[in-house]
Amino acid sequence: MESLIDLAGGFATALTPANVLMCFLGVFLGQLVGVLPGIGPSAAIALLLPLTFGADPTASLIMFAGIYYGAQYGGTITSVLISVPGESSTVMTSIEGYQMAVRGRAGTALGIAAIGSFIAGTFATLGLTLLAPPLAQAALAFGPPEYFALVVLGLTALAAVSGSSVTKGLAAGVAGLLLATVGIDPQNGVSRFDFGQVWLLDGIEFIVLTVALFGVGEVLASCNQATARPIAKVKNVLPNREDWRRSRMPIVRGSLIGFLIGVLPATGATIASFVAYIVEKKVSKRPQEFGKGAIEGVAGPEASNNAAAAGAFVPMLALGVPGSGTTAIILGALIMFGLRPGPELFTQNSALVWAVIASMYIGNLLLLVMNLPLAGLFAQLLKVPYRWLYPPILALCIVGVFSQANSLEDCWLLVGFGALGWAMKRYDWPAAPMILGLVLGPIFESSLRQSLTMSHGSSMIFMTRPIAVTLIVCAAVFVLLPIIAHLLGKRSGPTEIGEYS
Amino acid sequence: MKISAIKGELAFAAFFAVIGLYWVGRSLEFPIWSGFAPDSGFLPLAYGLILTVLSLAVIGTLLTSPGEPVEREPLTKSLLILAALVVCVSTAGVLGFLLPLFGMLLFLYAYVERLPLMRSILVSAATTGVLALIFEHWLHIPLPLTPWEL
Repeated sequence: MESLIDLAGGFATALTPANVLMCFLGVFLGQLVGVLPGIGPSAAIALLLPLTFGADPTASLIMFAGIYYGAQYGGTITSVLISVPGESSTVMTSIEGYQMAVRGRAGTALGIAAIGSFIAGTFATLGLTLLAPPLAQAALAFGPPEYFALVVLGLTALAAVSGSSVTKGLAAGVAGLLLATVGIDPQNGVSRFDFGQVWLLDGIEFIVLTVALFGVGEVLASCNQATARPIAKVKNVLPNREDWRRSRMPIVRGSLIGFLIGVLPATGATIASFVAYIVEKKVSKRPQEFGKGAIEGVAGPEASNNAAAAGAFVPMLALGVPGSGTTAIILGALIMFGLRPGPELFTQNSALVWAVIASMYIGNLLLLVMNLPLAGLFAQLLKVPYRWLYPPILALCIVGVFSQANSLEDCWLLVGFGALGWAMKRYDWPAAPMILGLVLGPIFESSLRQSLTMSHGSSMIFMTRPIAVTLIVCAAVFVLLPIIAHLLGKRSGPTEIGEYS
Repeated sequence: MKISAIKGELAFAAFFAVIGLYWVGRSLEFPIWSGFAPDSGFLPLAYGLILTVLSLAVIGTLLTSPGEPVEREPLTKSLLILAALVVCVSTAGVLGFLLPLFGMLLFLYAYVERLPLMRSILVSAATTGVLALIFEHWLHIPLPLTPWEL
């Protein structure tokens, strides 16, 4: 009941004209970056960070959240119309959705995806409304050992599922922690790893690394991308009675699967859509239609990836553990705005959190209204070749990074880390764990020191406190599970997911 | 698989291992432990060691089970873009941001992408102008646009 009262307060903030405008801008930009090649929600948020520096945190976070879940809608358009997933979470849609488009049913595929996404997004936001506050309340009892274990869980979970290799993900996360040690040690004022440069005493800024890895790095990695491809025509967006009958249950199942998977730290929308697709194929009365344009194969995964996007906000807002790469950047943005992510966010910045949650209901409605009549219009964006897009992105990266501290040295870091981001992308090293390592590094160090001081130097403090040990065991599971799955997969041959990926 | 096919990946993993080792070496200049808690050198030492071990594990995996050969994108275009960025940043300190940004955009459109010159000039000028407008006038950020503002 208290949550609903807080939510009403959130609506009062989110429905102010400025915030509605930011919400619209967020979902519109999300839709745009979902459609445009070579730029995803992580890069879009990274590029916009400098523009929001010093702006109202509530409005900025409403926009960032809108970009995140809006991109899930946008990614569907490219999947259906040209069989190129705009986002990794829409890979499964590109199988069935494109087959529907080939049969002249592109409009129906986009329509059911939009309706399913709306239902799932709203359902998952309701789940967020009800689940996050008690979770945050329970986590308020956390002391330094629990915070330490939470950071370990967040880092390992994101590292373990971000790329194709757990080792590379963990190494990237540790590299981020390592970068966090640059500058003055807050505990005793000692300067570390500053290479004799005064400008490094403040450490490496989150914005610089994020814009470099996700802006410059992405451009350098994607600049060879092919130009526009033939696009299917969009007509009859509203599904007929038979389409709706076949899609109802997949949407319900996709919503549940997506939310549950999204709530788990670092699993995110991509895994959710894979699982939803496999479930739909297993329970379908017509499994032979899968791969040839089964509408269930669009409705389930699309509902699931949107539910997961909203679900990922549960651990991010309640515990300060990101549910995906993009929420890791949003978490960094919270710190940039001077907020402390974690359970205290719900008590100390309650108005902001509830406004963001309320804006997600509004954003989902805006996306539905935008998508049903305007899907064809967004499809026209696919005609814009990437070669016209990336030079302004680079220019924005340079000016944006310079503007956050009026520092040309930051621009040099941008170029250096941009090259690193390119190499990471080229050799399949995930970048999100590195960002998270940099963001969580200071909390990690201070909570470790405080914990060991509390226990007079005994590391058993992490093993004797139930919450801390549970979180550490979960972290170990996140690292070990993919390794075990890999070993089992080697024995039994390609998995079902592997066949489509 | 031949080593040459994975030498880029090996070099990149080795780069991380070297960074880890550097951190280990430098962390020893700081006190490691003080009283009951770790001091300034402890975590850099731990991170450096872990990064080195993980990078070596990646190298080991590449050498023992390299997997299917992956077709990589050509490097030339990315290197040209990177060079344009370097020139832009290095000249921005002398000329301000307007000219280097315009020059970088024009170079990328007209030379790297071989787009029509007139259209490239127009888009480059418009993009530079819009960025200057947003940051200087809308966000009130003291962006040095010309050499006289440096």
